[in-house]
Parts: sequence; structure tokens; C-alpha cells
Amino acid sequence: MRMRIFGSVVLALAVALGAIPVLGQGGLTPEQEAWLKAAKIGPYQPEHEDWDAIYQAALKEGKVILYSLSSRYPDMVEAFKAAYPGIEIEVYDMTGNEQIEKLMREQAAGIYNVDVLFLSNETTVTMELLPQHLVWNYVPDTVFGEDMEHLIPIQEVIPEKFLNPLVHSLEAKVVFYNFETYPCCPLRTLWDLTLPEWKGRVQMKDPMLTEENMNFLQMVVMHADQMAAAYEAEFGEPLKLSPGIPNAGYEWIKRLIENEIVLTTSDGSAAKAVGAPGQERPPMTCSVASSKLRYNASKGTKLAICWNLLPVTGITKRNFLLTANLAPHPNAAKLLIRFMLGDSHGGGGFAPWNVPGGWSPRTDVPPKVGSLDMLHQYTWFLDTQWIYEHGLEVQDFWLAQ
Amino acid sequence: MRNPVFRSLRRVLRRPEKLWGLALILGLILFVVIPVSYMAVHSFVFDSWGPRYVRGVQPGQWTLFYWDRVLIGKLSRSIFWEPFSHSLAIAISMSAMAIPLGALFAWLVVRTDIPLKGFFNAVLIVPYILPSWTIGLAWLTLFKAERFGGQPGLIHSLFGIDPPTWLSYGLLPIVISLGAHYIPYTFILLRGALASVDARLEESAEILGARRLEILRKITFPLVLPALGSAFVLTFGKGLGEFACQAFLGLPIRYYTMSTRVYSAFEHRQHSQGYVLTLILILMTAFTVLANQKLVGARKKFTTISGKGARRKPVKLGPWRLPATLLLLGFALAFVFAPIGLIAWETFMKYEGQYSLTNLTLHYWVGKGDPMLADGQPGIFRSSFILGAIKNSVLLAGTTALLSGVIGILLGYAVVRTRGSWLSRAIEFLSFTPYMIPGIAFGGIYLSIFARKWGPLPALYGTFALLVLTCVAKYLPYSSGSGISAMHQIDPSLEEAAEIQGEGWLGRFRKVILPLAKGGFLSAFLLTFITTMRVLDLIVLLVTPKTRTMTSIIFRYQQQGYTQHAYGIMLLIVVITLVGHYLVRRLGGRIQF
Repeated sequence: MRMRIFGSVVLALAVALGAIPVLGQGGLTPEQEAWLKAAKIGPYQPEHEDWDAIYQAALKEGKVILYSLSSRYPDMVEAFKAAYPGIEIEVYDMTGNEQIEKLMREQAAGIYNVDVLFLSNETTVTMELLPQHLVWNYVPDTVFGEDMEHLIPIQEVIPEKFLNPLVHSLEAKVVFYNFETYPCCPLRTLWDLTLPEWKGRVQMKDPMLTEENMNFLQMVVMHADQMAAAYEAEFGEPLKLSPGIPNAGYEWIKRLIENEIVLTTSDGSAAKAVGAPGQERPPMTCSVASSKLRYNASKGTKLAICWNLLPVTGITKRNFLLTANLAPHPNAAKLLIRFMLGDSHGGGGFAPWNVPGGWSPRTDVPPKVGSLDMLHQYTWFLDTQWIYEHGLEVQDFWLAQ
Repeated sequence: MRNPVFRSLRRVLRRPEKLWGLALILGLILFVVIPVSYMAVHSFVFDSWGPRYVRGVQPGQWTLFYWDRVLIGKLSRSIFWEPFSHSLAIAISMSAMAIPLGALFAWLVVRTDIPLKGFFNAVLIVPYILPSWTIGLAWLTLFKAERFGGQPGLIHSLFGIDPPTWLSYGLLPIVISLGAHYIPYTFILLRGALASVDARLEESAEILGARRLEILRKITFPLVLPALGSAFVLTFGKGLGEFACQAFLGLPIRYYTMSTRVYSAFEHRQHSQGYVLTLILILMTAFTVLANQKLVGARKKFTTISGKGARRKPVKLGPWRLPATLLLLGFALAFVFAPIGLIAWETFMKYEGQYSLTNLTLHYWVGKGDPMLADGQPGIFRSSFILGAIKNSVLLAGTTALLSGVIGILLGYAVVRTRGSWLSRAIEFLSFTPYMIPGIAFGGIYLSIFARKWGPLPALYGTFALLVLTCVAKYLPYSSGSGISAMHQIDPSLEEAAEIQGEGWLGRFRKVILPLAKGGFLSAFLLTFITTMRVLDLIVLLVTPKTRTMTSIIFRYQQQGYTQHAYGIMLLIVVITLVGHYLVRRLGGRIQF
């Protein structure tokens, strides 16, 4: 009886507040249809795009607004302004989570502020943002070749798997070692990180602070069979699971925590701790962004990637360029997206991201370190479907440790 | 003309405080009651992450899932119970540190013959003016252990020894940083209470032969007990709700508290779970307030005993004078001058943590971007991003303070003039309620409600107005406290005299009330200005790139490892706040609760 009264009070309040959120799915509103048609995006994108017309339309729009997960954009902004005079560009430096939170709140309130989102958050992008039409995947028909005068059809240089949604760059989350102290990677498998020798000497950004690192742990669990095989390969005997632990992936996470892994608030501080010169017993990183290799030039660190680890050195994360639903400046957005994919030297709009430890999806751009093939060989790509369905079990397991 | 409706209308217009009161109640329902109800309802509804937890559910479906998950489920220990115990431990320990010390400091400064009273009076409230995490970050520059990565602290650089973990992170540093920060609460409250205790009571006891300790215990202590009660509620509540310090000093070792869990839930867009945790935090704070009322009988408002007694001669400290002076000087040095100095020094270091003269640079203040340093971020005074944030912060704090001052006076007027009625009690209670809601949660609710068009209100998301609205609503307890205590001091007979002279209500308010209430206005202004300048938890979820504030970008810079920028902006906050404080003092305002 009491529960029923309570329930109806709650219900009445909810109705009074008009509060229960309803998420759109599937069908398009007339407003979206009209916008897609006018912007020539999605089903209305022609096979061959008229870039002069796009530039003219963009000039009328006058500006473009970008949310960027990377703070390396200032040089790109200057180059864009030089290439397309008359178009203002505003960039906001925000984490992927902030971008998504803001986009969802805004679109729910009928506010359309942003044009282009530059973010990773693979699971949310593929499982929520795209299906709910909060963003659109716009793929330009061409990209720049030798320079901005030469155009190449995009299918010729970017493999199909990086077009849906459009990948701007790839980055690995890897195990780093200090090459000044160790002539080569002192580990053979990921399991070495759980040995007494490395107790308190493994650093990783707190997975509760960043989805990417939680994704790494999720992939470890998903590939539990590979983890078990790697254990057997190194120690010559099958892995014995602790009581109540369902598989080798969870077992590894448990042992990693028990080995007093140090959680940092950023990848940078972990990379600096590992790479600082003159150390006798430097720590190792786990799941730190491969692009921190640039610290070797800027901060004098001695970082090297443990590529050849069993089963992998980490994961590969994809950074996407997406067009916001009902973006106010869709033509300028198109110019910006094509510009940020750079030219075949990895220059132009891509220059700030063409660094050691960063990869363009373009097969014609020579990477500074390693190759796209190495990413496939030595890292796991994310399985967003699996993460959407099982990822929280891993997060809960981490929380419970 | 003789119509009774008309007559009562006239009466209302002549004495509009009831009308004020009703309008205020409506506002409070809109901005306090509805947000809390909204949250309560939504804690029973699946959010957009619902389908990831439970296969096949739709966002918007009713559920007990989140309450079960937080309180009972197999993860409740790490999601709730452990953070809950940590938060309690922090709140209790920091109260145990801040209240006795604050009381001792107040007694020393008010009642004894300690030297340098003016200096101590000014300097002992500075920790309150500084952002709460100033001391926390300064702590890290001293005690950070090498194994936590980045540059180790000064202790390690000087002596080559690595401080143990419990000294670098976790309970102890959090308690000391927060405790020192909130000592001024007790200090300010007790300073006022002690000054107004009638000294004749103590002197009579002395004549009757009571020893000094006995007088303290039997006379002074009971008289200042209500003020101590208020200090306890304020301090304890802050210990539960404070976010920044607990994040910087807790996260690296997985030391989670209620407020960092709430933050993490909202950060991962797991809203419903965040609401559950928030409601529990509100209940905890409400319980503290109620318990305090039951035990001490203190009023909800922060006024202290008023009325002046005879001045007594200061207690002679004798041999204790030197140690007491050294104690106060030591405190000022350790928690005011040293943190500010260390932080200032850091901003001039080319590579953080290297304490040598050759490492000094002005780059992070005025340098152009250098790709080799902080990923090419330009210096503070060259970065339009940072300059915009400075402008936003000052504008936000100024607007909030101005509005709070005005609202405080109106609230005070309505409460005091309708004293004894249900209206008065309702306003007083509702305007205190925001204090019970932790800043991080308060921001979260406002984000959810006022982000979209709602009733007569337009969608406020991303607007400056939303930040102002949130800050004004959250700091109602400060403004109403100042307003009520100011109004108490205005004798109603003054207003009646003006009324007899034929002044209308507006005229009375302008000519009589406002000039006399200047102190209350300035106090509310000052408190909200300082608090808004350094607020992070309240607005961290609400700021957008355009409305970024200094505190919100400090948090981002700190996370990205741009230490010098973060510290530089923090130093600017301190400077702006101190200048604001000084200017308001010049106008005759001072902090009073």
C-alpha cells in the first residue's frame, strides 16, 4: 500500500516535471531531411562534389566550429585560415566525453552550435551518436595529393574500414620502456607486468578517468584466450585462475592491481616517469598513448615502444572526424574535414598529428614510426559491439578490486 | 474606494513584505525544491547508459536498478560504502582539526594580550580566501613521491628520500589541506561570538574565585557553543561536499570519496547513478544540520549572539605569549605564505620541479607558444583562451556577488519583518537548503533541468546566465545569512518613524533600510565574490568553452600536465580575490556569517 502511494507520488512528480527523457531513434525529422538535402550530406551527397561551390557556400556561412580532443590544433588553424581566407575557425579544446555530453544536451534542447567533432570514444560514437543521428558521417569524395592543387579519390588512399565512420588518425596505447636503461624491451608478454620485479613500477592513467584505458582492459578480457596462450608460451604451463575469476583476462587485471600499479591523472606524467633519463630502475607504462614518443625530442626522455609483446602491446584507438547533426555551417565543415586529412606527405592540415606514434589512415602517407600493418599485427582494434554489451562488466570488475 | 478588496490591496502595498515573501518562496520552489525533486525522480529511471547495463531496456524506463546497484548490489562496497566511509573520515577529521584550532586562534586574538593582532586578524582569514586546493597542490609540490611520475616534490629533490604514500596522497594530506582551509570558518564565527560575550559574566566568576580553565569551561564555552555548532555544520558539510582537493590528492591512489564518485558518474554520463549518490550526500548533510540543531540548539542561520557587554582587559598569557605568537606565525607561514610562494615559484620554472636559478623563465607568463614546452601553449598573458577565462571569472563573481547582495537584503527584510510567521520560517529554511546540496551535485541538477527549454524558462545551457543563476542559488545561504543578521540590527521603529512621516514603502526602503543595511550587503557581496572566484565543483559540469572560467581551465590544464599554466592561473585567482577583498574592506565591508 505504502509503496503504491510512493510510486504514484513519484509518477505524478515525473509527469509534472515533464522529465522522462525520450531518445529519438531511426526516423528523420523533416528538419533533418531539409538540412541533409541543403547540405548535400548523407543520402544526398553526390558522387562527385563541386568544391568551388562548397567553398562559395562556406564563404556565405563565414565560419566553422570545431570541438577537438587534441590540443595540437593551433598550427592547423593558421594553415586553414591561409588556405581558405574569409572563413573564421573557432576551436574548442574538450575531452571526448565533454563533447558528447554537450552535444547531447544541446540537441535535446534544440540548440545547434557545433559543426565538426574531433573525438575518439569509439563505442559511444558507433553505438549511440551515429544510430541516433546526433552526428553524421561525412566522407569527402577526394583528398589532397602532392599539394592542394592535386586531388585523389579518397577510396584510393584510405581503406574502406577507415571510412565508416571517417578516421582522422590512429594512435596506439602501448607499453613503453626506457631505452637508456634497457637495451631492448625487458618484457616478453603482458604477464611480466604482474611479476614481483615490476611491483609498483607500472604506470597507467586511471581507467576511471579515461574511456580508452577502460577499453584496453575490456579488450584484454575479450581476448582472454590469447592472454591464456601468452601465459603458457612464457611460463610453459597453463594459467591457474584464482578462485572466482572467470578467465585469463580478468586474472591479468587482478594481478596487475595486486602488483600495485600506479594510477596517474594523465598519460603524460606516466610517460615522463618512465622516460626520464638517468634512472637505474625506471618503471614501465601500460596503455599510454604512443604519440608520447614526441617527448624524446621535446623533453629529452628515453621512451621506446615494446612492440613485440605477447599477445599485444596494447590497443589501437581511432580518432574520428564527424559532422554534427543540423550543423550551422555544413559547407565550411566539409572544407575543414578534407583539410584536416592533409596531403600525401602528411603535411597541410595533418601536420600537427604527423608525429612519431601517430598514424594517418592514408596509405600514401609514410608514418614517422612503424606502419599501419604493425598496428594490425601488434595491437587490438576495439570491438565496439562487444564493449557496448559486455564492457561494463569489466568496468565493474575493476571497481570491485 | 471603500471596497474591502481594494483596501487590503492598499494595505499590502503599504507593507509589501508579505508579497516579497511569497515571491521569494516561489523562486525558492523553482530553484531549490524542483531541482531536488527532479533528481529524486530520475534516480528511478534508466539513463542513456541503461542499455549497456541491462540488456534490452530503453532509456526512460522505470527501475530500482540504480538504488540497488549503489546500496545493495555486489559493487555497492566500491561504488558507495567505501567512498562513504572515506568522506565521513575526511569530514570528521578535518572538523576535529579546524574547529579546535580556529577556536584557539579566535580566543588568542580576541581575548589575550598576543601581539600583532591586526596582522593576525587579517592573515588568518586568508586560507579561506584561497581556493581550497591551493594548499593541496602546494602539498604535492613538497611531498610528491618519485614513483607517482612527473617531477617529484621538493622533499625528494632536497633530501633524495621518497616520502611514503600516505604522506603524498590520501586521507592525511586531504584532511590537513581542507582543515587548514576551513579554520577561518571557526575563527570568524568565534571571533564574533567571543567579542560579544558579556565579559562581566566571566569577571564575576573570577571574583567568586573560579580558576581560568573553570571559567572557560563553565561560562565562556557554553556561551559560544551555538557559534561552535554553526562552525561544525559549515566545516563538516564542506568536508562531505568538497571536490577539487579530494580529486587531486585522492584519485592517484584510488582513494575515492562521495564527491569524486559523483563527479566520475556525471563525467561518464551515468546520470542516474550520480543522482542516487547525490541524494545520499544531501541526506548526510541534512542529518548533520538536524543533529546539530538537536544537540546544540543553534539556529540554522549563522548569526551569533549579539549585543555588547563591557570590554574586559585582555588575558595575560605570561610565559605562553611567545609560544602562542610563534604558533600563529607558524600557521600563517605554513598555510598562507608558503603555499602561495611555492606556487608562484613553480610558474617561473622552465621544467617543473627543478629548483635551480638557471631553470627560471617568464615563458609561461608572457612567452609565445613553443612546441617544446607544454605542447606549444602560449604564455598566460598571450593566450586568448586564458584571458577569456579571466574575464568570465571576474564577470561571473561580480554579477553573482551583486545579485546575492541585493537578494540577501530582500530576503533578510522579508524574514525579519514577518518574523514568527510560517512565511518567515519557510523562507529561512528553503534559502538554507542549497547548503545541504554538494556543489558538484547542485551543478549536475541544474545542468539537467535548465539545459533545455523548461516551462517559461528558455534553454539556458551554455549561457552565462546559467552560471550566474546556479551560483546565486547555491550561495543563497550566505546572502540570506548576511541579510538576516543585517536586518536584525535595524530597529523597526526607524521604519515606522518614516512611515508616520508619510514615506511610501519604496521611499522607506531606499532612504532608511538600504543605507543601514550596507554592511549586510557588502558582507554578502564579499562572501559570494570570494566563493564564486574560486568555485570549481559547482560549475565544473556547467561550463562550456565559451563560458569557461579560470577554475575550470585550471582543472583541465592540471589533468593535461601543463603545471605552470595551472599554477599561474591559480595565482591570478588569489591576486584578484585579495584585491577584491581589499577594495570591499575599503568600502567598509567585512566578512560575517
